[in-house]
Amino acid sequence: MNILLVEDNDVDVLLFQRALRNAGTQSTVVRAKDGVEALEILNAQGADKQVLDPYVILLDINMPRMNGHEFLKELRASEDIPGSRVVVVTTSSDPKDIELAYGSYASGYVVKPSGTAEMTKVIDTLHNYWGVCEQPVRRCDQQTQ
Amino acid sequence: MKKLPFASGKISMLHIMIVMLSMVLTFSAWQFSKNQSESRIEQRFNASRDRIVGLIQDRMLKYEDALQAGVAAMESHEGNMTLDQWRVFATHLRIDEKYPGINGIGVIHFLSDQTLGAYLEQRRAERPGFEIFPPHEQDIYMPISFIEPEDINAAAVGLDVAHELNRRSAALASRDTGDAHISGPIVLVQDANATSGFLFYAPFYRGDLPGGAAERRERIIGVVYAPFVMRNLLGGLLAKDLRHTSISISDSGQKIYDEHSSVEERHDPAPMFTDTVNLDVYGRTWSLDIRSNLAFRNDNTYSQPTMILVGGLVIEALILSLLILMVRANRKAVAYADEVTKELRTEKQKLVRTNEELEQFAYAASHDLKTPIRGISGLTEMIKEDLEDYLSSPGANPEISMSLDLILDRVQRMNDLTTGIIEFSRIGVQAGDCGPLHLCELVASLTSDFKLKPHQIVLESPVNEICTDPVSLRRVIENLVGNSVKYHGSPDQLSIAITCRETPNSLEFSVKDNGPGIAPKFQRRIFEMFQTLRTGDAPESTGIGLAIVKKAIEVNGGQVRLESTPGNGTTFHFQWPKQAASLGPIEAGIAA
Repeated sequence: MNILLVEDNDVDVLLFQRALRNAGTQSTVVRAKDGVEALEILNAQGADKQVLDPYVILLDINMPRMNGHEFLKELRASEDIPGSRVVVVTTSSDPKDIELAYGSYASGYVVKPSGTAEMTKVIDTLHNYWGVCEQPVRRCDQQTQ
Repeated sequence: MKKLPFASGKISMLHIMIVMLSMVLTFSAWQFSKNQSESRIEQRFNASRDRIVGLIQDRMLKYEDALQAGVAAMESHEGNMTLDQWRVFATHLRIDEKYPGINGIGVIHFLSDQTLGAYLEQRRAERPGFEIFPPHEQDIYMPISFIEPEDINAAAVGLDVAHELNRRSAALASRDTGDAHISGPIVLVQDANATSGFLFYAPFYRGDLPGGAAERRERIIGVVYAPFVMRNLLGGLLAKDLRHTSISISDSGQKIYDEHSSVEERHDPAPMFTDTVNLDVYGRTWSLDIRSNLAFRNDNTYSQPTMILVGGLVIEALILSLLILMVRANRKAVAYADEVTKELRTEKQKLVRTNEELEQFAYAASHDLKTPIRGISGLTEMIKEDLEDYLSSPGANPEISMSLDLILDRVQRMNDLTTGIIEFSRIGVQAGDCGPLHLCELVASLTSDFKLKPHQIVLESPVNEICTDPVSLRRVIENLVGNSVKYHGSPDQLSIAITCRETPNSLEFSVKDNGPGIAPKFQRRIFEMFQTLRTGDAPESTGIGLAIVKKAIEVNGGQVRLESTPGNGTTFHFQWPKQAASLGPIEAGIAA
């Protein structure tokens, strides 16, 4: 599972990594501190390319410089980065945020759990989703479209 | 903005109609009163006119009586009285007292050339040097034989009235008709002022009363006569200062008496009334020109119509002023209302801004406050995980595990508090959408959420589905049920009854439990923020739940109250609108 984690909170990153470890899934994680950094990473080509295809983006909403919504808009507007799968993982349970996220074709919306135990459950769910999406990729793309 | 009829601040058609109607009423009242007054005044003038005409007629009749008395006296002496006899008669007649206005009473004899000599002889026997004058061409002599009182009439003794047409023709007419006659206008020889006068004749004859003109001419002896000065006659008639009219008298176009002179004290240059009466007086026709004088004007000037008009006009002016004042006041009120509306609009915009800021604050707070809390919680869990082997070993310090649990507990409480505050602050900021809420489903879900047995929550409601803001109502009932669960000493014994009753305007809810109840002194306090009846160590209680309940109910236009006696459970009552909260976010913000 190749993951681009767009998250500004270091503790949440730690928690996520711990949960990933607890879940025991094989995965590569690239972390971006905000939307701007995430776009830079996604646009990188050749030797600079860090995120392996296929990948899933785990996206926080509240971030400095470029927040999650702004990032999603840019991502959907970019022709160079087509068909990214995005799952929003945020503390906000505001219906507005949920509506905006799905409006920008997010694949899922998860309110951040408070402990590692619950976070591990989220990772498990995500892994299942990944399994559906990875094999075969094309079928999944057709479905999401 | 819709303009009201008055809001324009202008005089409307209604105003004009009111004033016009009032004006018409005033003028009608004035005209009516004026007509009545004029009619009354005219009646008075007519009475005054009739009175003076009547007086003249009466007076002339009285004078005729005096003359007829003379005639009777003469006839009683067979037409031949001596000067002394006449004097006795005249003295007894007391003309000064009884016939004011008469100048005297005398006798004129009708003579021909044949009888003249004997006559003169007889007269000269009484009055030596008696002469008839002036000479004239007529074949008849009519000398004044006697006139009493003689002192003021001396100039007339011996005057032959045949010398002048007016005197003569009246005397002859009297002779021929046998009736009393007056002459046309003359100037009496004895009147030093040479003013108008006339002579009044009554004939007497020899023997019995003659039948025709020829017989009368033959048997005529003379006439008893009285000279009159018009001035004296009218003066004696009625004192001028008692009259409301002045009079002038013309005979055949010649003015014989005139009070219409500007020198007269009561003369009215523009008399209110005038009238002309033609009066037949002993063979003459007097034309009486009667006019009202100043006394009449003074006594008959009525101010009532004028007062009505002036009073009416003053009332019009007042009504008009009042209308203008009303319109002005109205204009001011409208201007003030506009100003207030403008202020309100500004305030509303401010409130909208404030609400937006508040919403943003709540949003930011929900993230910014929760993030470190979640961090502490997550890190503590990680530490616990890392120390899992050590903590489960026999030599482990039990206080570490206890402390970590306490951190997690406090963090959980902190999280609940933050969630509660955010929830509280967001009530009413976002108006909930209207949607169906099934009470049965709500009760089932609460039973499950609070891990209760189905019989522990009983619903009594005639309606199941209600259209409302489902999130708000659920929040209220959930908090109340949550409270009952939280504060009940033994959850197995807990029993909750939720009832819903429909009234014309709202739904009346009650949530009743069999818990420990709330002492009266706490019943008001429990709705305030952070008020809890548990000790601070109890992690479940944030003291925000009932504050959220109260605010959510009030934002929806209802009221919450509770009935409780310690040991006997608590019942919360509240109203909920039938339709979803119609209050918009702004008003809800104000109410909050």
